[in-house]
Amino acid sequence: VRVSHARLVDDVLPYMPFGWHEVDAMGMKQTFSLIAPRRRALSGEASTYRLFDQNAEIKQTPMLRDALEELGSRMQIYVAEMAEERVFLHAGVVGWKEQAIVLPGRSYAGKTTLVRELVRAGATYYSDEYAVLDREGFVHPFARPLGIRVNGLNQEKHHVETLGGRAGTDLAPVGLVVLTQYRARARWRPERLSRGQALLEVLNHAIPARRRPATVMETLERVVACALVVRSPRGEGRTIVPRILSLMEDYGDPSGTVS
Amino acid sequence: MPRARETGLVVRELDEETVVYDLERNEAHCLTPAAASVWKRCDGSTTVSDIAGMLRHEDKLQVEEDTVWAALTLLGKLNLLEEQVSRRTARTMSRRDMMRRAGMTVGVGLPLITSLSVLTAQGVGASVACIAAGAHCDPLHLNCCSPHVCKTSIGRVCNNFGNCTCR
Repeated sequence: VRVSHARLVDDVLPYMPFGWHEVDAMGMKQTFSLIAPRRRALSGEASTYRLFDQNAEIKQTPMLRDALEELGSRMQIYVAEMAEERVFLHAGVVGWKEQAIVLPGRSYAGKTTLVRELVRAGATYYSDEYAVLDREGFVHPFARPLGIRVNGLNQEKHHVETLGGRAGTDLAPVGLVVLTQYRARARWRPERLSRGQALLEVLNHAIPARRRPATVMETLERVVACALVVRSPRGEGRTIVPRILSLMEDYGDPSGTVS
Repeated sequence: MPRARETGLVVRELDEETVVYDLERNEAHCLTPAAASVWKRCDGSTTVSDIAGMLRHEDKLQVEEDTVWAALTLLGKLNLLEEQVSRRTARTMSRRDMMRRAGMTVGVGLPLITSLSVLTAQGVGASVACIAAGAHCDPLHLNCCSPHVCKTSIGRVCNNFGNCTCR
């Protein structure tokens, strides 16, 4: 990451990807650059922050926060796409009785809200943004601070411990995948997906799907082979949490059925 | 005789279903057991009539030739065959009619094939917040929260960095 002014370094640090550390610049594969506006703009020159991905300009904005959020998002996605030994899903993840519950979803689908409610119910926090899978289909913890939206717009970061929860530290096999999205007054009617349908649906949330389709499909095949995968819209998170957890309980019981 | 496409595809067989990733189009398809059976038998030498017979006798599926034609037409439209099939009746059918006919005959749940376009990493993972109504925006900010757009106080679309808000 390059910045045009030293004063921007402290601004950028909070937006660095989870788990980042500083390395030698030799052999770097990707550069993001944040250019601040001149202190005294020339006549007719816009006073904007400019963000570049390599040499391509990807954003201009007069607001530093907007530029930083875009930078943070781009870096995060880059890591998720390029990680060679992992498959990143855009998903929330919690642990429940030594298995993982994976909640794939786009932005604004309500992943963080549902994750927070599950953590309140006693689940272990793994992530509110990415399910990080290894080649065997096990979930690795990615317990970054939860990004809780304020007034539906900006995010505030909260460590799970401050919310009364605890972060997972162990690998976990995937026991349940819930494909859901918040809709006001939605009825919870989980539909169990076949393995093929499940693989297709989860593929839709895999960050590196286009870059490494064979590896991603192989990994997801392992996940759907053992996990229960259901799909349904949902209403408020608190009302749905007991039903999600009961799915896990029932699935583990040979006589259980999806209800 | 139809021939299944072999190049530019990643194929995973899960039980009786088959999931196919088209590397050239970045599309993914889930074939039901019936569609997968038809596709598997498209070797360039087996006739449609023979395929239907195989599905009935080997796969125990109640299918007629029309069903196979419907599946082949769909497979062709999805670029999973070397060439699109040609049959007058099938060609004039709408996709919905094709799938309805195939489903009724086979007795399996529709659709025969489920497809999706695979998004880029940016498309899957973008998580930048949208701008709420009434908040400041600029012409390069394309993410006013739906259904609002970036406009000036007099309702025009913003083209400068003046007093523009999501309206």
